[in-house]
Amino acid sequence: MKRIMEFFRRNPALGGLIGLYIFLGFLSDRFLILSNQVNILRQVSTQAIIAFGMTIVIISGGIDLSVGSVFAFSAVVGASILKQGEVLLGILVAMGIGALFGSANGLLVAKGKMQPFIATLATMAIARSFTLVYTNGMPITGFPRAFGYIGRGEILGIPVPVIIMLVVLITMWYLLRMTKIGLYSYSIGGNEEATRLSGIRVDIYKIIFYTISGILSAVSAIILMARLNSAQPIFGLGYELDAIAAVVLGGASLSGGTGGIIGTFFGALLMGVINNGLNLLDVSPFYQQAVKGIVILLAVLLEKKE
Amino acid sequence: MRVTFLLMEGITKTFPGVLALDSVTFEMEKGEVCALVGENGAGKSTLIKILSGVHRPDRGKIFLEGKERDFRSPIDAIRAGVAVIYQELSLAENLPVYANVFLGKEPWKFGINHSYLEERTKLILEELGFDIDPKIEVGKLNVSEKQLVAIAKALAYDAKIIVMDEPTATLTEYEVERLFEIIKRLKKRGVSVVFISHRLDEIFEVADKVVILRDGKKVGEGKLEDFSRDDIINLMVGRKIEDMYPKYNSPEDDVAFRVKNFEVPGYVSKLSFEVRKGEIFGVAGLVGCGKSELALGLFGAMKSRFDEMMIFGRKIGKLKSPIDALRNGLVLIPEERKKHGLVLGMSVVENIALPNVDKVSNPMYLSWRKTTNLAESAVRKFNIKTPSVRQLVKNLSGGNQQKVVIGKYIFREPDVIILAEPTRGIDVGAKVEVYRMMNDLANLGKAILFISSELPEIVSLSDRVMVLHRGKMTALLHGDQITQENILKAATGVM
Repeated sequence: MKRIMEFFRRNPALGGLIGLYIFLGFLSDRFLILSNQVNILRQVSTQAIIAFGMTIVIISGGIDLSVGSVFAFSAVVGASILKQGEVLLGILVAMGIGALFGSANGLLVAKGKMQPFIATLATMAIARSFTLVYTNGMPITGFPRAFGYIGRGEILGIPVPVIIMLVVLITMWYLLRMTKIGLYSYSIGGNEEATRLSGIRVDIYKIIFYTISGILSAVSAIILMARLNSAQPIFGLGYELDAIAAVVLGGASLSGGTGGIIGTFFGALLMGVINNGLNLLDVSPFYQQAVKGIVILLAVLLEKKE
Repeated sequence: MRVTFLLMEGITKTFPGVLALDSVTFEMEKGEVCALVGENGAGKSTLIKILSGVHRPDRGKIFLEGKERDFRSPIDAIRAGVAVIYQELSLAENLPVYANVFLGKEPWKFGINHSYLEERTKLILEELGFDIDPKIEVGKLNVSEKQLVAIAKALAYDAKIIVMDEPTATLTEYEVERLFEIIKRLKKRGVSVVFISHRLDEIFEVADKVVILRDGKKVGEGKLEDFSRDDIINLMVGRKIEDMYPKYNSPEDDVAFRVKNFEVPGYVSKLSFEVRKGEIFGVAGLVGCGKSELALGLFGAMKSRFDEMMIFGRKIGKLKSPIDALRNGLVLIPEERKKHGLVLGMSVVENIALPNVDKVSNPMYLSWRKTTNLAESAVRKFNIKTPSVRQLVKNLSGGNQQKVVIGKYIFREPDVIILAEPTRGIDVGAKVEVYRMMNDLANLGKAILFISSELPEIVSLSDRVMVLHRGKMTALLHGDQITQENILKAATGVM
């Protein structure tokens, strides 16, 4: 019993999820059916991918507030190329923009010695502004048919976005658990100075972490564009907060050194299930944010309590 | 009937899986200085935490001035007159001295009367003979002065018992003397002092009685006159320590490490010295003499300049970061174990892996099997006591943590090893083990730079001793010249 309690204390999101599944399973006869479950996964895929990038940044003791804006800017630049019919180039450019902003964040934090909160707050504003200038505030629509497959296609009944999310999930899990990059992200978050004195190029690894976060924002943007067949300048507003929430629900601490990809996945899923459940129960969407907020508070309180 | 001033009777405390205290009875009189000694994990801090209301005992009673007390929180203990001055002083660094002294009990009368608090603080400080401006920000004081502020704060609370947890660990000789003066004055005022220290010399100098704990039990108690140094050590360790300072290394003639005109701007000026293969080269000096900065500078962790640096005939060109030092076979076992040596929230295996990752990993794959093997061999080789290599480092004792730090660097098979204060805050048994490790490493032909503030160990273990004073070498002693007296003379700039 003690062990079970300890497990849920470390994985607050999973405890909440199980509770919600039982609760919603009783209350709504549509909740547990397969198509609804697939639907939830599809909806959380974009959020989860951003949150996976955020995870490695937060574990290393940083934070990336720019993910939502980078999401938008990489989307609109990619979209303008996709519109010309260049699918592959459009995707690559979008990811390139993500990588560029991510590495800029990393440079500001690692070499410029800026606090991550401030550095990424600034790039968040800059990327959003670039987005509005680039699009003149107008959406970009009309992409090649083949591109839409990324957002709406299915393989063996599984939506392509879900497959992409699972690939990112496995890759990031591997990166964190089975490579030195992952080991260093935990050690930098746990004690940066001791890591430096162990002969590790802390600066370079920080740049890598933020670059990963930037690229994954772009990957997420590509999926959403493909699903909606358009890119909007207001894409990604508030996504940074959802991503941070998912990471924290997943058991990470904002002071760094702890957390994990699987936890983050459950965190993102938990928020997706809340949205879905409130829809099914016909609760006004105005309540959604309040419910999410309460869940976050409960989860973190539970985690704090020993 | 006479009542005992403080009586903690039959105190028992268990933590999950550990019996921290096993019906310990602790008593002291008014105005008495009692030394509390024991190895790490013996139960000293648990006893103190019970006295100060941090923990509540499972069994046992506390009587203060004959009245039974139940401290449910630190506030209860403070109100009853028990003050603890921890090693990591808990002061608000951004506030002035007087605000710290009266923190939490500012008299309220239409706002805080700052000049009144200043006056009161000044009185307390003067009475104790401290020369500190009550208006100065605490962050601007040095460690010793901060300690005095903490003592003043305790007195402002009318403390009857002041517990000092390793108060001398970070002080210079002179500051230690001053602290002892103050303890004597506290005694005169009728304040009882519990003094925790690993340094037995100090205990004999300042304490009236001693209580020795081992594995949660009281194993000795009495007036200090009735004990010899060895008695106390043997009771603490529970077995006889034959040789406190083992020395069996044999220096060779070849020079292993040489620097010319090594400078750490602002701290160390133009040092030239060489260390031979198999030699333990001591570096001594008072706090602030530049020996800590010398260590960090040689390791590339602080900016330095030099005309020449040579390791086994290899010239070192640039030294911009610890990476350059590690590549060239020079390691530093850092002075601040928790801040610079370890990631406390990570496991033993992960900590040992950090500087050794390239042995067990390529950029795309880190073999945990190999890493675990590596860590397990380090645990065996350095006799690290841990239930498993997956144990978090923060759960290990100080001595075992230090062995992890030594292990993680020695696994890189360096040629030059700088040990900065390697025995600070670790217990006697672990100290002897560290000394043995140093001898063994020297006998493998390594060059050892041994930086320490504890003179007995410097004197007993070093083949030669370099003494620093204000960043300059004031003596290079060898053979019979190596005495505490000579080192102190050179360290204070007399020689």
